[in-house]
Amino acid sequence: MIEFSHVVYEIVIWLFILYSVSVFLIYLWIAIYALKANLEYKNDNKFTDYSIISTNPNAPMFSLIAPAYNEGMTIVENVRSLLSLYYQNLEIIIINDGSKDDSIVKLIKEYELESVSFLIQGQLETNEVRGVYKSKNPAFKKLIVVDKENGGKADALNVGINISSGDYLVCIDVDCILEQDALLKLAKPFLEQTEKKIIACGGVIRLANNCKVENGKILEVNIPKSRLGRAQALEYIRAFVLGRMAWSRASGLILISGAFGAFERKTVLACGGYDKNTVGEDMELVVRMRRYMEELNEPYEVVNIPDPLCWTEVPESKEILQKQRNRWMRGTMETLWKHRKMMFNPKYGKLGMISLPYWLFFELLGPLIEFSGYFLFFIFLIFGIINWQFFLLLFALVISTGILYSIYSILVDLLSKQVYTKRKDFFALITTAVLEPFNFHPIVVRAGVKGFVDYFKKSHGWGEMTRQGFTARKSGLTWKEKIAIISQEAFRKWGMISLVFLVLFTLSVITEWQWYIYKQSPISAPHLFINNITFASALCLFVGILYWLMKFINEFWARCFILVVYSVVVVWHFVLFLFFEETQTLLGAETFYFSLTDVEKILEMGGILKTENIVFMILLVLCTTIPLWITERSNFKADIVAYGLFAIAFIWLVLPKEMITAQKTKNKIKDNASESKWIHFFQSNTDDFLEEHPEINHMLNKDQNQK
Amino acid sequence: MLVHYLITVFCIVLMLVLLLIITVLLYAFYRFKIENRMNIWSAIIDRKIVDVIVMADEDEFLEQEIDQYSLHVDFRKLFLEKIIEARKKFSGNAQTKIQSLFIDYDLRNQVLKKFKSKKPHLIAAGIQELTEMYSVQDLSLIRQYLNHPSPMVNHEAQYALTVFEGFQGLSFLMDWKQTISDWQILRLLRSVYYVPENGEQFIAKWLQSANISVVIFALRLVKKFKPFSLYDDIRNLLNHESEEVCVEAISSLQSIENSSTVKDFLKIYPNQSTQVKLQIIKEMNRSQDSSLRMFFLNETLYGNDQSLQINAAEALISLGFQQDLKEILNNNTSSEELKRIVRHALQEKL
Repeated sequence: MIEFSHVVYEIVIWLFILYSVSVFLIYLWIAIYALKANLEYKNDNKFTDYSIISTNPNAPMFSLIAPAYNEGMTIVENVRSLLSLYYQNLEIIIINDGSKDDSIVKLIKEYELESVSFLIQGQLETNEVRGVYKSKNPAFKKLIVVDKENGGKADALNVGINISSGDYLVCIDVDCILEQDALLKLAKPFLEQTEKKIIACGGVIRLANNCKVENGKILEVNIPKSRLGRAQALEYIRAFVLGRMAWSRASGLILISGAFGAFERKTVLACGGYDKNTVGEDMELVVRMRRYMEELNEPYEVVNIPDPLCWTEVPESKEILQKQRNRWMRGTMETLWKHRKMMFNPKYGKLGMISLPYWLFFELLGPLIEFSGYFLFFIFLIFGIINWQFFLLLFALVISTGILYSIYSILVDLLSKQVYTKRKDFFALITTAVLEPFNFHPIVVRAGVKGFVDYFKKSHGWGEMTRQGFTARKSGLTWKEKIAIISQEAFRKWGMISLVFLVLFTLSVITEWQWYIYKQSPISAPHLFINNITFASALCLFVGILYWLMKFINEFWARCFILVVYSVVVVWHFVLFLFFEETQTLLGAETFYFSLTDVEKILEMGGILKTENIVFMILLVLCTTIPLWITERSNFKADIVAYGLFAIAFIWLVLPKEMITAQKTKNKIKDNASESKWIHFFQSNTDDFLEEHPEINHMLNKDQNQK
Repeated sequence: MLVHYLITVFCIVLMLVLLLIITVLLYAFYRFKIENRMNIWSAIIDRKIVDVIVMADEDEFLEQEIDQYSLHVDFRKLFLEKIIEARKKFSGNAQTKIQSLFIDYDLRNQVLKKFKSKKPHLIAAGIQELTEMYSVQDLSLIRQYLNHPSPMVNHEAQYALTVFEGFQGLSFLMDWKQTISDWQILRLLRSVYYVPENGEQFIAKWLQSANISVVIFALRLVKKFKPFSLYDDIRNLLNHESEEVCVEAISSLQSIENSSTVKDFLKIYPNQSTQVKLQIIKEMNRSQDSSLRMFFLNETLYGNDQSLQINAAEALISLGFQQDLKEILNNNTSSEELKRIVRHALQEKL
């Protein structure tokens, strides 16, 4: 047991090191690739004459869509700024998404708008459009204002897509400030496409906080004053100048920022526009567009250009920042879950084999792994088992690598399109790079973890999930209908939670098998797996029946029951096989013959009550309970999982396995090692119980004799 | 063992971090210095350009200053960039005077050094600079890069040839296999100012090219220069297998329209895709032919796509037949959808 927990401890540490090394390698690749991408772009566009398209009637038509909600304070100025963009073939569509303020009144007055008959040709489903306005003044002929019922950003963008007539769509946040040549620069990649179709293009977004802005134009660039603002300035440089440029060059980009991105209209329409059921609609759209192109088997590209084209205000308060990051995390999870079919699927090329796995392991799991690292640190700290030298080295290594990456991003920005030209701003960035891992990064990690938890709590979490408690739906139903609903709910939940249990239990069996190999104990792997899976299948079916019955009595107790049973089975399995490994005997009913004092003495004498073992048990309980708890809290509409699991478990139990399991070797230890420790434990206790209650034994024997 | 290994790795990474911080700082200082110096140089060069254009190059002190700074490579690079920018802004005599700076200060040699490099972006930049400075003597050098494997280089060579030779510079299109991007088409079109007498024969051949992008380029050329003799060649493209070519051909044909154009359009109309039909309606609308009233009315009433119906209705308005649309609105048998289409076309105020 001591040795086992020590090995587990080492494995955990090595897993963290391995993950850190993977992160380091990925970021090294991004750093090198992004530098080349930035320099290539700079060289390619040194003498580009954008006037070719600015006034050319043959240039493609762009539709700029800007949803606005309660932007009355700034909307007039923002629209004026958009109207001054350099591009002739342009329509500007402002969507007033049911604002509660006077946005629409201000727009009507300022731009001499009048409501006109407008047939919306697009077929995307949206909330009701109250009216479409155009200006009487020819100076504003590019402008279309749409007033609609509130439906969220994605819904507003879909209205814009339906109304648009351009070849390309530019979707922005109305409060963003665009560079006047932004559309010219964004149009170039679309016009340069030859063999590969460009389906989406993004540009670099920079921070408008503390910049001098007049008439919707940036007159003077300054770094934000606040600590959070500066950290985000650096974060945006890392994300846009390094991350997105590298992924763009590698044809693996799956995120074009919702604040500023251009899309090919036909592909957007073919894909069904923005998804209203996700909080990460920008990423989801790009992934869906890529999926569409992959399934069509047509060559395509999603590109990012390093020109700073758009300026936006970022949150400078901790609360708003956390909310934003929480939303980003949920958006990422929703997108990855929705498109899980493509994950590790070679049919989807780089998208399925590289981009999505990267997002899963590094963008989604990154904050969780980091958080679990902090958690483990505190557990180890409490029990005093930290190797301080080792911990400090690892910590310093991780932090210094982060600083290295940030400073490198500043360097690349300097080489390509630096916007912070003032000396003091530059030094502020360098200082931020050093301080950010301590005063900003933990906030982002915390928000990410919170987003992860919220994802399972909130109704729109998985897209496919519902949080509509059946109790709400039960009222006013007949008994038959109630039974049907409860049964269906119970069946679905049982399916998902049992699936997670089976995964955890299988992992524990794999650990057992590997432990015997490590200890060079004789073992028959097929026996071990068949016996244990048989036990797990029978348990799932039995627990399922009890869970279903308990659901009718009390939902809370039913939930507790299934959680406790499954958690205990997994955790106790470790105890059983470790006990066997130590003593070479199978643990059975004798467990309950000992008093607590006896157990304590035995454990003490065996040196089991060591900190390492206690930590290991705590971690084991957490690692088992948390996934089961999360699954239990969610409510998947995955009937197929429940049906599939039920069928497989049932068939497995019916299948004759004696051919394999009945074969015994002459080696008793090997036979015992290959047994399911749980089956032995269960049988031993059942036999003991029957011995203690001869009347039940007699009754059962009588029944058998009668048969 | 593990700790020892980590100490080594940590030390290396830490050294890298420190090294990089120093590099960034030094580079920043360098850039800052360069930026400052560039601002001073920029002002001097601007003065020089004004002096050349307005004052007939008389400021000797300025001359000395420039001679002094010309020893710096960065100054010469900036000088080249500034005169290229200036040449774009001016025309006529001023342009010639700016060009004289390019020769007088021997900036051409600086550009030619770029051709010794194997890096495509440097060669492309060299071609661009020679083109912008209209260095005709280097035409043969640029021509060598027409078949360079890098698209960046061969695109610049194509553009340079059309700038120097006009229509003749397009001769590479005869056997051009690669796709020409829309961006390049726009650049090439902009640099051709006239079509010579025998030019129509070339365009006719390009119209038959197997390379769709060459066909599209030729069609846009027709749209720009309107060579009426190519009418039949373009009409033959109306049933081209590429929808993109069909759409472009319709547009080009309208630009050189004659008495049979509308008939040609009406003949092919029924069997076309929605996109092509839409283009035909738009182009026929431009012809302002009132005999098309019934066709447009029919399409408004029975067109199989909303966009076709809207465009047909808009064409009726353009021809002055709003009354037909108002009758549709007043007709009780008209469907609500049709009424919405008509109202949209009329842009009725609500």
